Amino acid sequence: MALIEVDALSTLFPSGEGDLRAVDGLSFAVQPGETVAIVGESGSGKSVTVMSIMRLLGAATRHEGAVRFEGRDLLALSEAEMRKVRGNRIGMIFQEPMTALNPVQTIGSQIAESLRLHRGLSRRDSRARALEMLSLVGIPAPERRIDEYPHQLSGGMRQRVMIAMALACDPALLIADEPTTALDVTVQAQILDLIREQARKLGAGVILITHDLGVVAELADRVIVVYAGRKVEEGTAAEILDRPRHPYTRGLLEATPRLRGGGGHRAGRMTEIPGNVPGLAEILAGCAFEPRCAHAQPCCRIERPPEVPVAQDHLVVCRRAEPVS
Amino acid sequence: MTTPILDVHQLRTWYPVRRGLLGRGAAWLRAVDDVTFTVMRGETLAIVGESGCGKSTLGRTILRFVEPTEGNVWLDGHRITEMSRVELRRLRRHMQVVFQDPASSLSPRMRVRDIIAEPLVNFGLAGDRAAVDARVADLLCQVGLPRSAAERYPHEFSGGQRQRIAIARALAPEPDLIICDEAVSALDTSSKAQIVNLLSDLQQRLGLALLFISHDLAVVEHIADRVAVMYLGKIVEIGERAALFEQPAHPYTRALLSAVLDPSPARRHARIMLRGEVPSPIDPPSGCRFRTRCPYAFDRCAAEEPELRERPNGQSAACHLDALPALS
Repeated sequence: MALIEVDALSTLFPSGEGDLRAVDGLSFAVQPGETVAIVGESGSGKSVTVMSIMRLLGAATRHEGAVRFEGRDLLALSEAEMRKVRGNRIGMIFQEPMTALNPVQTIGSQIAESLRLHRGLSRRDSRARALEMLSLVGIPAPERRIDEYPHQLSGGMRQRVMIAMALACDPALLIADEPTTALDVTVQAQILDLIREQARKLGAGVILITHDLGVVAELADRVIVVYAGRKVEEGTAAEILDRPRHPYTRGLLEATPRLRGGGGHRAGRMTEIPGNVPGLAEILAGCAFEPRCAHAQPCCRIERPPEVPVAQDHLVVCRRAEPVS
Repeated sequence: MTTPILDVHQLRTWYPVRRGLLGRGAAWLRAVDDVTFTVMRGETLAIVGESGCGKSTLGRTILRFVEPTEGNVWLDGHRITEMSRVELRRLRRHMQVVFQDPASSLSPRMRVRDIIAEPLVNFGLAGDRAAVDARVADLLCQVGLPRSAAERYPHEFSGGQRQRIAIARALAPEPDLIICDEAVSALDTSSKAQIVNLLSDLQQRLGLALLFISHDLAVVEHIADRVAVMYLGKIVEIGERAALFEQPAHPYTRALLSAVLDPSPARRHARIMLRGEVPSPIDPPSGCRFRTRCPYAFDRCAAEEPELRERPNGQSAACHLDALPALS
């Protein structure tokens, strides 16, 4: 059974010009122990999706669909019930630890606080467990660091602290929103290794939000590519990265800067995806990528494209895709 | 021999920092520590390194947003360090800058027309209103924006389009050199490629020199003629792009290159996992600053600081090793 099942989720922000649909009928599931990457550019709705799952958007936001997790619909829970899920059954790692951590509280007491709240541990036991978590995530000299404040740590160390917090209550699901985007490249690999290893140890499912296909290749089992709040392609990481079928996924892969690994003397031009991501207020009756698509036909503008299975575990939302025979 | 457009000689930018409760025992944060290089007309030199390596401070010192502690900078043969503010103002039109975040470098209350026209007015390059409008329209066209963009405000544009506006503003006074400080780092994949290509095109068409400050080696490989790698305030390797990317001579360059992730599972390579993180520039390690993270460090590295030495491939590297051990 799926650990979490997101079923036709839409997220609507009310505005003067009517509701803005940031997430538009998105469905996916994560199995226990599986890492699913949601890939897209800014404005694709990938971060809004996890904010909706965690119910972290303001009261004015409207949701449609369902988010089934451990037998309940998270969208139907009261705020008090939701608080028991966040940081407990679902751990979160954000892009910028400096804004996610409390600047005036020591890192040890931040980790211990969630253990006392969710697990009912005593002051002494929660501190012992916090120390254990800090050493687990590779903080050097944890017995000294535990009483330090976030600003006393480097960016990579802060990200480790946030991972320690996210893991402290043994969550069933870990949500990592651009976990290495703000980090240096030589630290990025360390943090990705840590997330992979800890998720495996816990047997937790992971939802990885990223714009970076290199990070996807490192961490993900399955990939969902989103564009303008809609899913355009879904499949195993190997299928999506090696045999992308949607014109947008192909464009993203070609536009991703990568080292050429020697040979040749002119690096030359990068492959572009022409045009821009549509704004939230734009009404898109047909395929959202149609205005930028080199393969678009007149009907693509009028009608939503169908979901076409093109291989086992590979789905493309495109009229031009040829179904598997 | 022609004069370089930019000549940076033994540049140091040190910031005083206080230590201890009473501020006793003043120390220095050596953000830029003895950096020397040149950029020729029409050339792109990339400065790469991780956060805290001093690459942005280097750019800001060249622009004299920060005053250097020591050393000199010549722009087209004019020594801009030690120049008065008034003299500098006149020369500054030849050296423009594009920052990482166009949202914070473009005034939200100004129309695009006025943003681009501002340097024209400031440097006295503007004619009458019609001439300014024509020039703004021309600049918008050069960066791939429609003429109608002039009447709109920055927030009405996407990140990539805002960066086009910032580039149009930088181009307005017809500079010889543009300093791009992480100019494409905050952009999405699809607009990143567009902006990198735009900068390359403009450079070829206008003969611009670029100082391209970036942490992204895959992007740098597409745009740079030469590359300088910085670590803790110093250049550890500098040379032609092809030589440096194909056969890095410094262990740090090699580690940086190996840390670039590739989306193709077939193109995974052996990764050199560096220990720990960059040490504090207030208290850099003795000898070679990289030795605390270097997989090949030996006794001499702690005792003696390596000088930049030229290598058979033409690049220079600051490492005691003559050749790096083969990768297993």
